[in-house]
Amino acid sequence: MADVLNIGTSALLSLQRAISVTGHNIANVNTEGYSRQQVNFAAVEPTFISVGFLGNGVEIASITRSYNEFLAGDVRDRTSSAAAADTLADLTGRIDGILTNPNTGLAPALDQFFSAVQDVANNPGSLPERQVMIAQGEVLADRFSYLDSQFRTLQTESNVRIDGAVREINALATSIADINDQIAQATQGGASPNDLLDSREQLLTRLSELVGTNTVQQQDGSVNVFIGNGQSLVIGGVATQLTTFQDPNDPTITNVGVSGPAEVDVSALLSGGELGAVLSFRNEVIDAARSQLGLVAVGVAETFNQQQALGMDLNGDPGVDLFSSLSPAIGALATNTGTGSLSATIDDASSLTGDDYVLSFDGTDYTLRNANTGATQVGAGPSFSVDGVTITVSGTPAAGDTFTIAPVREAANLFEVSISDPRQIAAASPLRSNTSLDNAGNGTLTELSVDDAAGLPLAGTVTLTFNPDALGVGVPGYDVAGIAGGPIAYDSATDAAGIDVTLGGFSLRLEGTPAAGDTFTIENNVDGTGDNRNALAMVGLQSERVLLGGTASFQDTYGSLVAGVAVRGGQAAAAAQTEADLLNQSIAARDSANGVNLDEEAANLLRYQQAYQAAAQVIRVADEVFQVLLNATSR
Amino acid sequence: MVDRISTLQIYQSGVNSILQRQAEVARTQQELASGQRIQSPSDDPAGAIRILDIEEDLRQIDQYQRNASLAEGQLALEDNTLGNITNVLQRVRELTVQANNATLTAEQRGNIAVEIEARLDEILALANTRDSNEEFIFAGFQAGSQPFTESGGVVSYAGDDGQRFLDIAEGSQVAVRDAGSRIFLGVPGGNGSFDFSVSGNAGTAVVDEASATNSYVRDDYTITFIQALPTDPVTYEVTDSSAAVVATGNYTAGEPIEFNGAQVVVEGEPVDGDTIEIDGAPSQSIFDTVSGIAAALNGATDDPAGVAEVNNLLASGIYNLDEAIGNVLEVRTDVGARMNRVSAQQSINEDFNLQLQTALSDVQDIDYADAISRLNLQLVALQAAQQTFVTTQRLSLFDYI
Repeated sequence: MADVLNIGTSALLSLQRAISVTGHNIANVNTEGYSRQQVNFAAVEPTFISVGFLGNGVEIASITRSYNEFLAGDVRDRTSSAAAADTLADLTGRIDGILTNPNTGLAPALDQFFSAVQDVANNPGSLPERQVMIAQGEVLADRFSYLDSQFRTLQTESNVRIDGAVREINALATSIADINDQIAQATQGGASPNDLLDSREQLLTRLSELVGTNTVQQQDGSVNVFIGNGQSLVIGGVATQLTTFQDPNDPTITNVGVSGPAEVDVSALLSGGELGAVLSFRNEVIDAARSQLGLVAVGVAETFNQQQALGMDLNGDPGVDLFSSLSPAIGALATNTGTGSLSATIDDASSLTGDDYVLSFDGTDYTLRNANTGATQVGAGPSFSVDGVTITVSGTPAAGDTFTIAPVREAANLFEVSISDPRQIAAASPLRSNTSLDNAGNGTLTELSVDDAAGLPLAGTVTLTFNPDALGVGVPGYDVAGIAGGPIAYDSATDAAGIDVTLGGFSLRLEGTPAAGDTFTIENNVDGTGDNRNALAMVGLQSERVLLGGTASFQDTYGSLVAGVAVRGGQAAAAAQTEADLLNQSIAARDSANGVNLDEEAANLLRYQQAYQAAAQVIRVADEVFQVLLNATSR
Repeated sequence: MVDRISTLQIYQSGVNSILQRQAEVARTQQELASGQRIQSPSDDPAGAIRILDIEEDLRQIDQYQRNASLAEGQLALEDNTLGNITNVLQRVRELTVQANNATLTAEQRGNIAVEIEARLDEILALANTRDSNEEFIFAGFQAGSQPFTESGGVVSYAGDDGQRFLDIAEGSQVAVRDAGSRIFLGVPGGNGSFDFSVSGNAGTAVVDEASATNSYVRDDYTITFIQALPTDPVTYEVTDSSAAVVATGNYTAGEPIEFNGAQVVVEGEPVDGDTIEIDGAPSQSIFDTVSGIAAALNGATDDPAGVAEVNNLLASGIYNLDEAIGNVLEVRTDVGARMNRVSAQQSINEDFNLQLQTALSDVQDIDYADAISRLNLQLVALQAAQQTFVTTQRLSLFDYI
């Protein structure tokens, strides 16, 4: 009888536990990362009796969790990619909209500025138009600095996000290491610490969201976690801590390092997750966008200043800079030991590329490397010329000293109008030509334009007189008085369609058939307030391809910035969608194996309940049998 | 096929699909509300750049149209002014023809001179015309200062040859002004090839006609009349600037004197030693021509030689006036051609504008029919997702135990 009672009792106890496991499953139906647990029953070792083995009831062999290492790993990987794509889409989406918004984008401001220049050309002597042009120049400057500030805000935000991510990664690493210890201890007893394992899985998934991870399962149940390019983060119960520090070349940038005796920069090695996305966004999108914007800013400033210098303002003076000249940003490595310093100037806006450069000194020679393309030039210095920029070293650098040069990075931020007097806009050209009223021929002098203002104003009137014997008997040409460079060979028989001539700092075109003694004069454009030639030349800059080696206009360059960001934004948004779907799929795959299904639990509950009732019946039957026996023997 | 699915998953996928449908509906709603297909450049980078380009072109065309209407106004002002100048010159010519009559007395000529002088002032005022910005339109680049000033009866030009252009389309500029020097100064004088002048003659020779053929050789010539004895016939001799004789002959009133492609018809009776100077490369200032005519009329005497001198001056003046009127007309024709060009460009710009608007609309606007039917479909899908969610969530085995 005792056997039957024991069997019944073992069943009751086992089933009670099974029901409580089911209850645990039901209770955790909404717990993120919870793996369904299941009870494994086993028959108690039977007792040998003469006729054979007699069963001794049931016991719980183990409580296991449904867990698939492969599926869980897949979820972690997908979590990393999805978080990265999502972060990138979020960040690029922020600048994407700003760049083409009519209220904030550069294109309308650029057009309005050129429109104001047109108005000055239409009415060069009028002050209100000139005032508007300066005001529109200021609007343009505001727009440049607004856009640049948006990029810089994102830069700052990136730094904050990097700091936050690193702090959380450190906390997670510590927790994972702690749990590793607990799991190792618990596992020693032979049982599987299911809920601890789930917690760790949960932490690992959260870690994957922040940065791409690799895990290696250890014998003792702990996992080792590696991030980036094999940088160990957790080994058993020991967690490595990450740190953040300022980039020595650019204090506005936060880098990620591994703390230790010497701080190692691992920024470039990290990928995946929010941290990887922020780092790549910062390096690939923000810097490129700022440089591209800066390129447009330098282009506008330099070409306008050049054109302005070739003109004459309303006071009759040579044009001064319309926009302040934009110097390249220079950084010296904090570890430099020498006294060398750099200066750089932009010589030719059309040759600028928007790339950054690194100049390093090895004790004898300098190596100038393009940080974007990797192209290098080596020389003894102290001056280097690269892509429209001249870099000059002064002082004495020590071997190993390194400098960085970002020619246009800060340009959009620094862009500003440098004149306030509307009279200073050089709408006129400083020279004009006149045809003598007594000319008998039909020769003309046209297209007089100034190439170099250095020789201006002219000391006196320059006179061109046609002389059939200017270059010897029978060799016709123009005698030139008032400036060096004459006589100019000109034979109506061959040159009547026109020849271009350069004299001193200006050029002109001679056409037609002049008669002997016909004269043209070139003089300073005194009181030429009605002249708009230089303003028209400024207007022409709008569609002229003045940037990127003469292949792109301002608008084109800005357009390619917008396109670059838009394509990235589009890719990131598409990737975010795809990655989210993939993540959902792997979660579905994992959960279909690991997750709790309430109907299944309800069925189990019913099953255990029925078995429990049956086991209770066994005890009742045993009891009744015992009572029968008692009744039979009690007289 | 997965044969089991977790409850959380059922819930999550239900919620996910509702959220996704909602996002789609919101997106379509946004498109419909803004009327634009591209909400941010990343939706369609190529399209976004195209919009950027088209919008730039549109703004430029807008500016070109403003420039063109400005050019139109400026050219209209110039055209109008040149028209007035032509009228005044025509009037001066009429008066000169009227005065070029041997029967008029010195007093009558003086009266005509008074009117011509008044006309001269009128031309001077027109030459100093200012536009609405107070700029002198015939001053070249020095538009801020008055180009023509009169001092002691001589009108001088303080401007230059500068000409202002405006952009009316990309790479297309049109001149909106002409320098005063082109209109009023340096006008071919005489008959366009040569001018003649007569002064201090004792006889009454008057140039009646002066013309040149294509073979005319440009030089300064002198026609000298010779009559050694009163009984001799009057002969003439034409010498060039180097005193070489180029033609000789007997003088007959009304018969042309021909030399080197020039033909001069002289009337009247010259006496020995009378000369007619031929200026081979004449250029005139319109002001000098008109004031010269007035001066000639004022300085007239009633003796036959004096009358002949006046008549010669007036004949030369009429030739000069014809050239002057011709020159103004030429500039005016040019201005008219430019006005045509401007208005042609305006309509080209308008067409281009329309094309760009269409292109912009193609790139940026949504297709309403498509978007609305899409919205309906998406709403149905959203409703279905919601219903499915509620229905499946309602099913639980626990309801039956």
